[in-house]
Formats: sequence, C-alpha cells, structure tokens
Amino acid sequence: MPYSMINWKYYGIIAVFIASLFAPLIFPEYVLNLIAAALLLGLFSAAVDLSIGYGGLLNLGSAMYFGLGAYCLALTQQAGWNFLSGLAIGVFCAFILSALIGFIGLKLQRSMIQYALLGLVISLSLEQLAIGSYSFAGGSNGITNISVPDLLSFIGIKFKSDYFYCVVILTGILLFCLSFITRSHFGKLLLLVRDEPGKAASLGYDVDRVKISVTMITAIVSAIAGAFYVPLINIAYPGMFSVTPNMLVLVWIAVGGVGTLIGPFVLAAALHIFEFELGSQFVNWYMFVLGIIFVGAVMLHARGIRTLIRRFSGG
Amino acid sequence: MDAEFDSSFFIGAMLDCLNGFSSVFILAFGLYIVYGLFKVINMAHGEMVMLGAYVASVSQESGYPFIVAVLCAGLSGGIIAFAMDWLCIRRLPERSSMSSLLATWGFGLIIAQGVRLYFGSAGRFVNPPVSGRIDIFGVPLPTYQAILFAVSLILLLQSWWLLGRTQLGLRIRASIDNPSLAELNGINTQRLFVLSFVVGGAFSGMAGALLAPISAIDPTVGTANSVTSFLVVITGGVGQIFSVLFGSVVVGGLRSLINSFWGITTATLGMLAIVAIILVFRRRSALLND
Amino acid sequence: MKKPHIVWILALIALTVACSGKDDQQAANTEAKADRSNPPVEKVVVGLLAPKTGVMGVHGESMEMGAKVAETVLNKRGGINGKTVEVVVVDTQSDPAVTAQRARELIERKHVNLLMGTGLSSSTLAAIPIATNANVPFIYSMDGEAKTCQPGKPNEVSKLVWGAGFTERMIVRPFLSFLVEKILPKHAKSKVYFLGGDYVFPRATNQYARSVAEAMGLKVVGEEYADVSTTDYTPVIRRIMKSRADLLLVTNPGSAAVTFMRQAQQLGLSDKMIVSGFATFAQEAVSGMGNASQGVYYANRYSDLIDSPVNAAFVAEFRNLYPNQPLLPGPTVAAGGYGALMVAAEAFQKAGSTDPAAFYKAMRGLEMDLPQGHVIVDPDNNIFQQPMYLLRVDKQKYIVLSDLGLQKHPGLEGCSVR
Repeated sequence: MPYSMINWKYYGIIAVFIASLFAPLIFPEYVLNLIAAALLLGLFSAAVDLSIGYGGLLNLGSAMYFGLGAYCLALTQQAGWNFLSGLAIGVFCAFILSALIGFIGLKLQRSMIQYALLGLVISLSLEQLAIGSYSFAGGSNGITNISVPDLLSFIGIKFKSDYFYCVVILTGILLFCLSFITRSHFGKLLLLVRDEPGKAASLGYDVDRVKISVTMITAIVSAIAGAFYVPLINIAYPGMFSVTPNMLVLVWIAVGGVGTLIGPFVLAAALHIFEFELGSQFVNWYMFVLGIIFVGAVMLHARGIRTLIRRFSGG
Repeated sequence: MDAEFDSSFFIGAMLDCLNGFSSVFILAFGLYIVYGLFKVINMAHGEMVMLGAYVASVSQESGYPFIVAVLCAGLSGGIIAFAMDWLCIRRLPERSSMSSLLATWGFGLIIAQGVRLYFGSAGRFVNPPVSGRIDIFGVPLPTYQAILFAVSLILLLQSWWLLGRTQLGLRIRASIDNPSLAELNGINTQRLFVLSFVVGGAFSGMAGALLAPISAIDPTVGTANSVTSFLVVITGGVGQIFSVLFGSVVVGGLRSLINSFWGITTATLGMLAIVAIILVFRRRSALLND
Repeated sequence: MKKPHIVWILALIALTVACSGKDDQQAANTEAKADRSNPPVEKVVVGLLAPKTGVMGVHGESMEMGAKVAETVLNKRGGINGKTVEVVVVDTQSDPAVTAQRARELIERKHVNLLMGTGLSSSTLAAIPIATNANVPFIYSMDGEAKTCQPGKPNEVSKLVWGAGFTERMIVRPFLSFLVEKILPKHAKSKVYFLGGDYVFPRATNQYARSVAEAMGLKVVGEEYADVSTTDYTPVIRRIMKSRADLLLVTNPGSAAVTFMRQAQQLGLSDKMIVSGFATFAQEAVSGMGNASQGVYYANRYSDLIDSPVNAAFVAEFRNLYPNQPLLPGPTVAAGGYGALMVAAEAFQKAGSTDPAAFYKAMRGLEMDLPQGHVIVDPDNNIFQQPMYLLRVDKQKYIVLSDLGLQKHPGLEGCSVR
C-alpha cells in the first residue's frame, strides 16, 4: 500500500472520531446508542480481520468471543459486581478459550478449513449450552435488564452520555492498538507467517505460537467489544453465538477489505447505522434491498478480493 | 428392566437411522455437487431448497401430481442457479472464493425476502404422493420414508456411475484436478461449471419438493437447511461421492441413532462434537485440495 | 484500487447521518411550530414492535394486521379523546438486540404514547427495562410466562407493563380438566407425554403442567425437549408411541411444530393418542400443517369461529381491510394486535389523557368486550384476565368445543423479569 494512502485513511478516521465526540450535542440518546453499538461492532470486525485478513486464519466461529465477553459481563452485572470485574472475567475467559482452540486446532491438525469450521462448531455448542441453562444464564431468554453502568464512578464523575464517550474513546484506543500491531515487528511477522510459513519456520520462528497469539489478541478485543455492547441493548442472549453473527462478521470483512482493519471497521459501523435507517424508511423491503446491495457490492469489489484468494490457496 | 432384547425398538432405531441419513443426503446433494466438485460454496442452497418446496406446494395446489411438482421445483432451482451464474458468478475473477460465498449469500437473502414478500410469513404444506405405512417385522415404516430412501440410493449410484464411468464424468474430474490441462485438452471448463451449477441448483430445488411433505415450509427455513447441508459437506470432506455419503451418515444417520438411544439434545450436541472431532483429527494428507 | 472503496463507504455514512439527522430536524421543526400559534392536530402514537422477519414472522404480520384494524376502527369513531390514532410499525427481526434499539427509536424519535408487540420472551424482556426507564406504557401481545413484575422486585407489579396473552397458569388446569373429564378414556389412569421446544416457556409450562396432571390423577410417562435445530423427529415419535401415552401435549411452536406434525402424520401418531397443545396449534402456526393437524385438541384465547356480535364485527372489519389475506384471523391478530390496542384506547379514553400514571389508574380493573370475549385487566398483576377456549381442529378450521371460562393468573407467580 502506498504510504500516502495510509495517512489519508488514518486522518479520515481520526476526524470521524473527533466528530463523534460532538455527537451528544446534536443527536438524541437512541442515536448515540446506535452509534456506540456501531463502533463496537466495527471494533469487533477489525479485531477478527486481524486474525483472518492479516493473519490468514479463517475462523467461522469468531462471534463466540464477542458473545463470551457479553455473557461474562451480563452474569457479573446480574450478580451485582462492578463493570470492570465483569470485563476482566470476560477477557480472561476469551483468553483461555482462544488458547485452547488455538492449541487444539493448530497443533493437532493443520488444515485451515478444518480450523475454521471447528470455530463454528464450538460457537454453536456454546449457543446450545446457553439455551440449556435457565437458572444460571437465563436460558433462551438471556440475561436481561443490564443497565448502562456508571463507568467513571470510581473517579467520582458522572455526566450525561458518559458511557457514549467511554465507548468512543475505548474504540479509538483499541483500534489504534490493532493498527499499531500491524505496523510493528509482530505485524510483519504475521504477514510472513501467513504468506510464507516455511520461510518463517526456517528463520527460527514458532509459526504455531504466532498464530495462537494473534487468535488470542482477536479474542480479547472481541470480548471487550462484546462486554461494552451488552448495556446498549440491555440483554445478552444465546443468539449471539448463532450462525448469523458469525456469517455477518465475515461479510463485513470481505466487503470492507480483507486485511485492512479499517475497511471492516468502517463498513460494519456504517452498515449498522445504514441498515437501521433503511429499516425505518422501508419496513417491508429493506432486507430485500440489502441482499441486492450485497450482490452489487461483491461484484464491485471482486477485484479487491482476488488477493484474498491467492492467500488462501497458498495457505 | 427385562433382559429380553427389545427387537422392535432396535428395528425402529435402524429404520430411523436410515431415514435420517436419506433425508440429509437428499438435502445436501445439491450443495455437494457444486462445492464438492468445484469448491464453490452456494450460500443460497438452503433458500433454493425452500423455494423448491414452495414451488411444489403451488404446483400441488394447482392440481398437478406430485411428480410434476418435483420437476417444477427442480426447474426453479436450475433457473435460479443459472441466473446466479449469469448475473454474478461468471463475472467474478475467481469462482471458488469468498466472492462466490458472499454473492450467493446475497442471493439467498434476496430469495428468502422475495418469498416472504410474495407469499407472506405463514407456512404452506405439501402432501406426499403416498401415505400409510409398511410393516417391517412389526415396526411401522412410513411408505414415503421408504421412497425417500430409495431415491437417495438411486442418487448415490447414479452419481458414482456418472462420475466414475462416463465421459462426462471424466471431463468433470479432469477440470477439477487440473483445469488448465483440461482446457488444453479441449474441455470447456467454464461450460462444465455452469452445467454442474445448474444441475446442483436443480437438485437443491428437487430436494425441497421431496422433503416438503415431512418438513415445514416457510421463509425462515433456508438457514437451517444451509447449516445442515454445510455440516454434511464439510464433515465429508472434499472429493468424490463418498464424502457426501460419509457426511450424511454422520450428520443424519448418526444423529438419529443417538436420538433413539439418548434423546434429542444429546443427539444435537453429540453430532456437533463428533463433527468437531472429525475435523480436528482428519489428516491433511487425506485431502487433496483444501 | 482502494480509493473508490473508501469513498463509497464514507458516502454511505454521510448519507445515513444525513437521513437520520433530517428526520430529527423535521420533528424539531414540527415541535417548534406547535409551540407557536395553532397547534396541528395532535395524535396518539402507538409504537408496534413487530417481529415481521425471522422466526416469529407470522406473528409480526398478524400483530400488524390486528393493530391496523384497531387503528381504523378507532379513527372511524373519532380517535382517542378526539386525537387521531397512529400506529407506527417497526420490524424487530425476532431479535432482542434489534427490539431494544427499535424500542428506543420509537420512544425518542416517534414520541410514542404506548408500546406494544414483541415476540419471543427474550425480545419482550429486552424491551421492558427500556419502556420502564422512559416511563412509556408497554403491553406485550404474546403468550408466555408472566413478565409484569418490577425489575429487581419480583413481588411488586410494574406500573408500566401489561400482558395481553395468557400464561401457563391460566391455561393448563382448565385444559387438562376438560380433557380428563370429556375426552380421555375413563376406565384407567391416563398417561400423558410432554413434548416441548428447548426454551424457557415450554419448560416452565411443562413443569407446572406436570404437577397439575399428577394432582389430577394422570400419569406422566415422558417429558422431552427438542432444540430448535431439530428437523428429524421420527425417533421421538417412536418413543412417544412406545410409551403408550393417551395424551400428548406439544409446546413447540412455529416451524418445529409443523415439522413434528407432518412426520407424526406419517407414522400415524394421531391414531394412537390425543394430540393437544396451545400456542403450538394457533392459526398462525397451523397453515403449514395441512391435514396433519386433523383432530388436534387445542386451547387458546381466540378462534375466528367464536359466536358473538363483537367478534362478527371484528372479522368483517378484518376482511374489509385485508380482502386478499388467506389466513383467517387468529389469536395474535384478534387478541395480541386488535384486543390489546382496543383495551389501551379504552384506558386512554377513561383517563382523558395520555399521562402514564393516569393510564395505569384507568387500566386497573378495566373491563371490555372484545372479539375474544370478556376481558378484565387484572388490578393485581396487570395480566389480562380472559376466557380460554377449547378448540378442535377439523379440516383446518377451529371448532369451538367449549368456553373454559374467564381465567386469571395468580399473583406474580413465575415472573421471569429479573
């Protein structure tokens, strides 16, 4: 990628973030909620893109980390614990699970498609488990009545839309961290492991450990996004682990631009807002229109996806 | 508990296992044709099955016999597949890729929503051509289930024969194994792909009609169809007809067997666990192209 | 190559922000104008959270139809307190997250005076805290376990949430009593098998039904739950037949019930035992069953064949508004959509305003004759007391066999709001 293009995109994103800090002055609360949710979904997409696009590790069950973060937070909130401990538990669980799956999936066998589907199977199993536990996790009803926490209470501050600001700043920081990773030594190592694993191995790098590491990073950021997402919709429910969110994140990545991080972030966020708006205007037809837009988008960006194919056929 | 072996239960379980296998086999067959051979993931497969069921329902309501309804459903599937290819897939630089996955997903959305907008969300039904049961050693077997099992056997044998023993099959296998070499030998791989895609679509549609008498028919069933078919094809692995056979045995037959002995939810979780284990322990060398 | 890409996306965002900004601007303008001289005709705005797509799609469509019929009828007689009634419908996609966001949108953007609808319990539970915090009354249209207790206070009734549908406590006992007295064979202790979908309401229902059944002298010979992805029920059907049950109670609504009944028909289950259920066999769900529904005994809050002038007028109005609708009005249309809104309208009328506190006072104990029968809003638990009917499906028509009488939910038992 030419250097000039990178700068332009980043300045654009920074501008959008700064602009969103002024949002509470203009928009009513439901729009703020919508924007915050959109940012978190975008963050989730970018995190998954790190593994899939940048790391070359296709995973059809990425939504499980998002859902895990969501459920851990919801469970702790229900028990009355504070937000940060819920967040920490979610991060910890995602860390453990990704390490487990990474180890089993990558060490025991080396086929990429198998690893991808293993993720999906585990995600669906988590969905079943969530449905089955009514007393603990609300079963199919999910865990509800999770209100927006007073995050800054430990400093003693509380002001209107404080949660929104927290989400905006958090998303900005984590997104910056993710892109920092891609520009760091580790990022270059990821690319090497993705494109030429043999060479990486011969240079002395433990290829599997690199892959597991990137999976864990994705898992942790996804879990954080999931945890912050729950208070916005007041509920954590088993559907978060189902086929649909798993597929959607892949759609966002593929159409947004595999491996770019920013592309999926922007697309997921924009699409969330756009779909909501479209749904308001055309209550009956919007899903139909969405399907047409997707086919059109794929046709338009098919050339940009060619690079992805080359990687997968090599991997 | 009496020590006597409960033969009727055992026979029932076996019959159900065969039924589970054949339903899933028929369902996944259309997807397999395109994915197993050309590695194109048709995310609209489930919706095409659903549409086939709708077409069959409308045909039957109009008074046509069941066999005509099945053929109409097949025609609808074939037409949709052709349209998908013509509008979109042949214009993609690389067929077997994320692009085709996404494009077909978009088409699936269009089909499902189109059906919902035209027919509404309420369900429809299709009556089987025969009702009643056959008696197998005292255990009832629905006649229609027996027919479905026969259909799946015919499909199996026919595909094996087609791919293994005919010129066409040879050409198809050549274009999969080495497309450029096949082209040099005068095989039009593009035309073969379109043919396979359309035939796959037709089978998807026919599956919808064949399975309609024992399923629900409404705009939402597409996703479940796709997921089941996907599991079959992936469990079976890419390759010759054996893969979809193996996949159907695990996802359909084995699930039914576990259900008979240990209950429904155990069957679902058990099936998922077995699929996961197969995926984890499958040796890479056994797969030619992944 | 990447440039057009990003530009397209940014254009999309710009367009979106412009769209949402524009609506708020218009609303602000209208409010500003209203503050000045002649205020425009005020409206009573009702927000309908309808699951039009997704697994509850049929019910979403039904709710909308019922609410629209009510809107027409109310506006024909001059609206509520002289104001026009406007029903705003949004699609919740049968998804709790979307329900939550749409509920917020309806409250903040459309300034609704009343929320109604939602589908599965998870969606209802997602909307309740939002309505409660915004001080907007919410009537949930569908049957399910009680959800009218206050969040965090399970023994206190909410002042903003009402349940229009029946609960398991209202329907199980009268239903089983009727079956035991009139339908099941008298000579021996009848055996009953429970089959449900694997989620909260069927489990709660069966848990309660089990204790009621055993108290009535029935023998429970099986209890099973099928997860939503099940499409092969033949092993289950064989198990049920093997148990030699006399009665099968199915609480597995939607597509799952259709699949089950179609496969059960193949194996001839109906020849061997009485098949029964409630929400499972509602009008909305049964169109897919075809003749597999023949002979099913079923209890619910409504049938289009209820013989009363109120119902006849409603069905006529429905046919008038929806002449091409092949589906006859079912419980969700008549009770969940139409009935709920008519009750709310009556309460607003009685209160003389749209103030939530006045609305609550007016709703307490409100009585009304609706297409489903005589309905009373229970003052203690906000759940509509309503008649339950014992119906039999014959050639896909719902024949009313018996009016089981007005049923009331006891206190706040089984409330799932945490």
